[in-house]
Amino acid sequence: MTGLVAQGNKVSEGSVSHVLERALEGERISDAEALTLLESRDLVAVGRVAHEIRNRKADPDRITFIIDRNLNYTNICHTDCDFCAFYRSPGDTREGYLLPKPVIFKKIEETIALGGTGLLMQGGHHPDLGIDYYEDLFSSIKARYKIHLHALSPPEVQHIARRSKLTLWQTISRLRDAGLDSIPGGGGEILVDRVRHEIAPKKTKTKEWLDVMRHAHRLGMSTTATMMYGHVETVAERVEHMRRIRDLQDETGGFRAFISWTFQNDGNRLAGKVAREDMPTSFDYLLTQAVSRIYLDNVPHIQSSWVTQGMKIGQVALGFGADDMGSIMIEENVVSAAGTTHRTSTEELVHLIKALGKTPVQRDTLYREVKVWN
Amino acid sequence: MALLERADTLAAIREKLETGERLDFDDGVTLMESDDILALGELADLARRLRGGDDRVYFVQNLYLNQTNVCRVKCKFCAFAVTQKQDDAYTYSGSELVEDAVRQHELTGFTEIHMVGGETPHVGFDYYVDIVRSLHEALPDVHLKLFTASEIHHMTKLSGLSHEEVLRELKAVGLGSLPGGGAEVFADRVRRLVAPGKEHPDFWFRTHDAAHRLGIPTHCTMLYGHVETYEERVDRLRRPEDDRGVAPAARQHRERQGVLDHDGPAACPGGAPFRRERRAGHGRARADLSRRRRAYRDRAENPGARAFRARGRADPGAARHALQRGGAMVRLGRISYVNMAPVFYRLDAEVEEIQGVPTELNRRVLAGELDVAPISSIEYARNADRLRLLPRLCVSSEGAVDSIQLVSRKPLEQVRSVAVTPESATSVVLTKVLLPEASHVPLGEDADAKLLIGDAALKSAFEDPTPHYDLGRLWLERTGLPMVFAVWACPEPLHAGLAELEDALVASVRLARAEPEQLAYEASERYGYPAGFLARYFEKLRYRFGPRERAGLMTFLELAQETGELGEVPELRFVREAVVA
Repeated sequence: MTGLVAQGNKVSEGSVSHVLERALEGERISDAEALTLLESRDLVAVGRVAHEIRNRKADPDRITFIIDRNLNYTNICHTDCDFCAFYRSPGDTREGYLLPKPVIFKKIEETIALGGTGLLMQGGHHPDLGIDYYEDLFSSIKARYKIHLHALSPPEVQHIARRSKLTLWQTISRLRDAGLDSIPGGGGEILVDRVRHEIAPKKTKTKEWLDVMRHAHRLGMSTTATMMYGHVETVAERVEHMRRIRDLQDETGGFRAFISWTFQNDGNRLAGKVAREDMPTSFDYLLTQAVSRIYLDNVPHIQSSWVTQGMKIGQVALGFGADDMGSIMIEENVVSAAGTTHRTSTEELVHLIKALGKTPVQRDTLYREVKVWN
Repeated sequence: MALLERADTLAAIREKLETGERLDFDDGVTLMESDDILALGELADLARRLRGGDDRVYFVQNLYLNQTNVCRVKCKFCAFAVTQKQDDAYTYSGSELVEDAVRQHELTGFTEIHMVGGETPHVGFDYYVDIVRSLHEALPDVHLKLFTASEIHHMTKLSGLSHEEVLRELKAVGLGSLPGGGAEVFADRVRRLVAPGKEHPDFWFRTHDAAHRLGIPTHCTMLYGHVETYEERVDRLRRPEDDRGVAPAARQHRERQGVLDHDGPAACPGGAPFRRERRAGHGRARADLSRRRRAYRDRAENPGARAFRARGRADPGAARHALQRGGAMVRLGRISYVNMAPVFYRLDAEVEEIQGVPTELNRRVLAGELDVAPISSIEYARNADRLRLLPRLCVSSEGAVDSIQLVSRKPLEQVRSVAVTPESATSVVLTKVLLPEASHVPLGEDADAKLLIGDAALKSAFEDPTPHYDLGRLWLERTGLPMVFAVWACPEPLHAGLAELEDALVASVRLARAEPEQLAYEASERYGYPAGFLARYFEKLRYRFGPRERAGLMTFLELAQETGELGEVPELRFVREAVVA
């Protein structure tokens, strides 16, 4: 690894510009070329090209965001991921919870009152919850409220399928009929089984994660894709992850957005597996996000992740290929459990976007304009 | 590559960087206003590399000490200062500082001490000499980077010595360099808002200039993102450069900037990238330069008396535009203040120009001795039945105007009496509107506060450390509107040439706005203020009489009526109805 980087500095100076030239001309860059960019230290050059490409794909004068609520309906989980500080084991009666329906309804009402248009609902893999629970929950939400349900990351969908002995197709189709509108890209981490085995041995493997997304796309649902990096993966494995997203997108066209972030290193076991000098920095974050914009030429939106990077980098990232600032996150439990607590309000997000000289536009989950914040 | 070579607003600046040409004030503002973060980052990195920066990034291992937290200044951003009487007040002796530093040096092996502190009035200059000597004797290999310019200035007060003498004594006992603290943003307006008790920014320059002459390298700093504008930030970056341009030690200064090796070659002093350079195409550029510099030097060396000598000689330009073309010329009044310079900058019209102080012009307009003149807003309102207005011109400011200041040791809400000058009726009424509780007494009599206008206000803001409150800013805070100080009034019956004259006045203002540096230079020649100061002053003034200005004027007149200063709020009547965008 280190050898590659050192060598890269010397010989690939020209090839970084070559790769960027090609990207600017609208050509698709190869895995090797993405690697060249990720291994370069040319943050500004890569960022400028990512920004230019972003300006071609989305309105250069606008930055979008969404007002929605992150609702973690349960923290009971039997998957034991190393990087997770949120879950509690089944049987943990002291700290484990499953939100009752009235509490969920109350949270939805608060969300709507705050101008929210969506609900991002994710939770642990609760051993007692099968498809009946979700069908009932979703249909009762939809019967009461006009809100977009963006819920159940692929590992949860897989968990429900297994628990209820259904195929993925059957599971997703029944959830959709009960009211599920789209599936978040959570649990993507790094879509390389070597890495997944190391950080989340019991969690959905690459093929299964992609299968959930493939089925969802075929059933007419669009989804997002994510990447959590900066832990035990190599830079080449980051590219491999992005290639799998790009390939599936070629096939189905169902990904609306790509969101990547560095793993948060407090309160989880994964932190112990990453050496201090390998901890990801803001530099890695901005470079990786910029490369994702260039490499994922078929994904329409790139979100900056202020939740994990803080408001300052979250804002700066909007100049490195991102066109969306994500959600104001009325409630967020998972990342804050890992020691990262960045909070914001609509006012703050609007201020940060305006300070860049852009127009803040509130969108819904499907990127349709809700309100222009002038 | 294509993207990077694409022509944009920063292309010209990039070219200047590459060819080694200095950036001017406008370039600085262009950079500040750019929203292309990455292009800026790339330019900055280019600038760094052009000055010898490579892949190394420097840092220093130092020990940060504060000799005292007792401070006489009450800066608004400071959470550190206490008074001597407070429980947590401390002032360390030389031996206490040495004990701490030696112990920490054994632990970390730092190579530098960075020590700054409050401006305590409870010690003598010998205290400072003693702590520097003690630290230097205990740790002779450690570089001592000590004291802000404000502290050095404070020591001149304690000792009666000059800045140079203070620095010479400190250097003799071990002072290595000065940190750049206390500079904040230099713009006077900003300083008065964030640090009203601090000495005038010119002392910062005097201190650093004196240090450079003695071979003491310094840093400079900027604290921004509070109340300042982009222009004021650029001004902040530019000013060390202007100052350097006049100091005899200028060249040495530049060479010395590398002395602080941990700063790398890109350290700020002397390397500040902005300089207010005259625009190309004005023939007298070279000859002007020395004059302009002298003006700056006057200000730097003697900010009080000499910088503001108002020469008051006749304007040679006045004769130029007073060409007779036949028929009765318009008799145009001109206030003898510098705020008229943009309006008369390149006035292309046949007029008889009559100069006078505001009260004189008011009288002559009402007597029908002038066909048109700028008169104070309140005087116009009191006589509106006999006057019509030019629809496109006024003198206003949106926020600080500098030349109308309320000077008060007391917080404004406690001011019960104001000494006022009779020179400007509008300013007096504005004071009444803003501070309705306060009674007015003639200037010179004892009062909580005093109202200063024009030259006296500008001078005082430089010389007097008492807090100054800008009435234009107070008005904006109160109403959210611009303050209209004067309007162009014409007595009835109207002269036939007024519409044409107004076009010419507007054209002159427009040209003046397009050539701010030439304007500032010429006004500097005529009125004796430093050109850089005038450039900033003119930026604050507005001459367009638009919808916001009209709303500001009407609001002012309504409030004036409420305080009993105006009988009736008149309807504005114009010479002709102009289309106001």
